[in-house]
Amino acid sequence: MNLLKTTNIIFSESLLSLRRKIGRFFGLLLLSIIFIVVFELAYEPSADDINNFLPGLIWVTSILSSSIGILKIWDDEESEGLMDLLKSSPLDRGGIVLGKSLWGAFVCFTITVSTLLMTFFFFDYTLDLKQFFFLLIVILFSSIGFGFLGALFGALSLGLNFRNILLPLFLYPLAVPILMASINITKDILVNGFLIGTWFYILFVYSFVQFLLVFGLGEQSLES
Amino acid sequence: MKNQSKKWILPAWFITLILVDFGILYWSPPDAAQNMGTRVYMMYMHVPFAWTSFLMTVLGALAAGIYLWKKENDWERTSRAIIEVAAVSAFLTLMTGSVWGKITWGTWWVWDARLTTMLILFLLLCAYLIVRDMHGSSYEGKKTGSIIAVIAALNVPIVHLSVNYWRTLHQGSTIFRQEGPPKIDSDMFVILLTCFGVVLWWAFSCVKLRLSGSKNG
Amino acid sequence: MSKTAISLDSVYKKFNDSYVIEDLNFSFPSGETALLKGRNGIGKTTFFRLIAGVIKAQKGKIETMGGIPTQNKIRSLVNYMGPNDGFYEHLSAYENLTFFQKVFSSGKNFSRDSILKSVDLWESRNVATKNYSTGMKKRFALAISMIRNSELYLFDEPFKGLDDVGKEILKGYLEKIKKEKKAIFIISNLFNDIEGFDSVYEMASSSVVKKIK
Repeated sequence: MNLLKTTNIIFSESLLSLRRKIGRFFGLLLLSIIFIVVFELAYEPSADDINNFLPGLIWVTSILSSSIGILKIWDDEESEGLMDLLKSSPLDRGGIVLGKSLWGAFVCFTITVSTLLMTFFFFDYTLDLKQFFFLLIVILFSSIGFGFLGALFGALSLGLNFRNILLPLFLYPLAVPILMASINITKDILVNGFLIGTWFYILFVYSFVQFLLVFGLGEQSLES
Repeated sequence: MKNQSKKWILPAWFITLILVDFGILYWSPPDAAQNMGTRVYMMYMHVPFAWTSFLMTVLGALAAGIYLWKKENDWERTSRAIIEVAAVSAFLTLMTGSVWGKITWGTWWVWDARLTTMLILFLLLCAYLIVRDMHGSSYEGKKTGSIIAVIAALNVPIVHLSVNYWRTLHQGSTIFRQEGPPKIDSDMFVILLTCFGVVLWWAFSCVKLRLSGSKNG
Repeated sequence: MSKTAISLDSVYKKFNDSYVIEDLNFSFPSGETALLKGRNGIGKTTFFRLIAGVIKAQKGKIETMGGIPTQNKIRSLVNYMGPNDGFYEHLSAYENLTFFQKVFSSGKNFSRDSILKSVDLWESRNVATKNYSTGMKKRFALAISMIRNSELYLFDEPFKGLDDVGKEILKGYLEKIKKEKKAIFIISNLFNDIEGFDSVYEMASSSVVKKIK
C-alpha cells in the first residue's frame, strides 16, 4: 500500500475516533482556560502590558495543552497486539507515522486557535482580519513543527519504560525554537502588523525540517 | 401516550419563553437607577440562568453525595443529568453576562471576583462531565465525578458572596442581601421570578428527558 | 508462488543483550499445515514475529513467501495473528472492521455483518471492544483475520481464551483455509496435534526448530 493511502487511512481513523474521545479533546481546551485563569490570578497584568504578555501567554498555554494531546497520539498503538498487527499489515510504515503526525498537527492547530480566541476574549483584545489571517499562518507552521516532532518522538519512544516522563523531556527542549519564533512573530503581528521577518524564516525552516524528518525517519522509527 | 408527551416538553417550553419575552417587553419598567434602559432585558435571562446553575449544582452535588454514601447507580444517573443542566446553565450565564458586559462596560470580560469565580465553577462542572464521559460505567469514574460535583457545590457560596467580599465591577447583591429586603422594583421582581420559573421548567424537563433516555440505554 | 513459504538462514535476534534466536535455520513448505510447540519463553512468538516482518533480525536471512518479510507486497500475503489483542479498544467491532477493511484491500469483498455473525459477535457489534470478555476479544481477532486473503497464516496461541463454541468456530475456519491449500503455522501448547494438520514442529532451543511428527 502506498504512503498517501496509508496516511489517509490512519488520519481518518484518528479523526473518526475523536467522536469517542471528544471528552479528552474538550479537556485540553479547558486546560487552556485554566492556564489563562492561573496566569491572570498570579500576574494581574495591566492593560498597558498587553502586547508584551499576550503572545507569550498564548503560545505557552497552547504548547502545554497541546503537548498533552500529542503525548497521547500513540496511546492505542502502544498495545503490542495492535502495533504488531499494523506492522504485519500491508500499511506503509512511513505512512502510519505520517498519518499520526498529521493528526498531531491537527490537535495542535485546533487547541492553539481555540486558545488564541479565548485569550483575546478574556483580555478583551480586538484583532483585525489581516492580523487574524497572519496568526493562522503562524499557527499552521508551528502546529506542523510541533505535531510532527511529537509524533516522531512518540513513535521512537514506543515500548520504552517511563515513556510519559521521557517524551516531554525530549520534546520540550526541541520545541523551544518553535516557541520562541511563534511568540516573536505574534508580537510583530500584534504591534506592527508584520508577518514576514527573520523569526518567520526560522519557524518555516524548522517546521519544514520536522516534515522532512518524518518522511525520512518515519519508517525507521517503528522498527524494532 | 407518555412518549408523546415527552416530545412536547421542549417545544412547549420554547413557546412559553416567546410569550414571556413579549410579556417582558410590555410590562417591564425601565431600570432608572442604573440607567440601563432596555438593556435590563438581558438581566431577565442572565439572572435566572445563574440561579438555575447554582441550584442545579447544589442538587447535583446532593445526589452525588447520596451516591457516594449508598452506592446506588440511580443516584449517580440523577446527579449526572442534573450536573449536565447545571453546566449548560453556567455557560449561558457566562455568555449572557458577556453580552451584558459588552453593552454596559464595553468589554466582553473582566477579571473581577464574580466573573472569575463563576468561570471556575463552570470549569469544575466541565471537569465532571469530562471525567464521566471518559470513564463510562466504571465505579472509579462515578466516584471521581461525584467528588468533583461536591467540590463544585462548595464553590457556589463563594461565587454568590464574591461581590460582597471582593472589589468587583459586577452589580452587588440585589435580591439575596444581608443588609435588608430585595432592592428591586416589584414589577421587575415578578417578571424575574416568572423568567426563573420558565428556566427552571426547562432545566427540570431536560433532567427528566435525560434520565428517561439514560434508563432506556 | 514460491515453493517455500518460510526460510530462515542463520538468523540471530537479540533482546536486551541476550539472544532469543541464535543461528536458527528453518524451512517450511508452501501449502503445509503445522503446529509449533515449545516450552514457555523459548522464543516461539519472536520466531513468528520475525517471519511476519514485525521485527527485524540482527543477522541472517529470512524469506517469507519468497521475499523479504518487511516488504509491503510480502506483508499482504501473510496473515499474522499475535498472542495479544490487535484492534482499537475504544472502537466497536463494526468500526474496527470498517478500519481494517481499508487496511486489507481484500476486506472489501467481505460483509461485516456476515463476518461478525460467523464469530457470534453480531449482537455486540456496536459495543466498544474494550468491554468484551477475553473470549469475545479472541473471536473478534479471528474476525479481523477472516477479512484477509493471504497465502501464509501465522497464528500465535489462537485457541487460548476461547470457549468450546469459539474453538469450533476457529477449527471451522482452519478447515476452510486448509481446503484452499494455504500454508498454516500455529503456535499452541494446548494440543499435541490438530486433526487434519500435516505436521508438528517443536522449538527445542533458540537455535532449533525440528519436525517431530
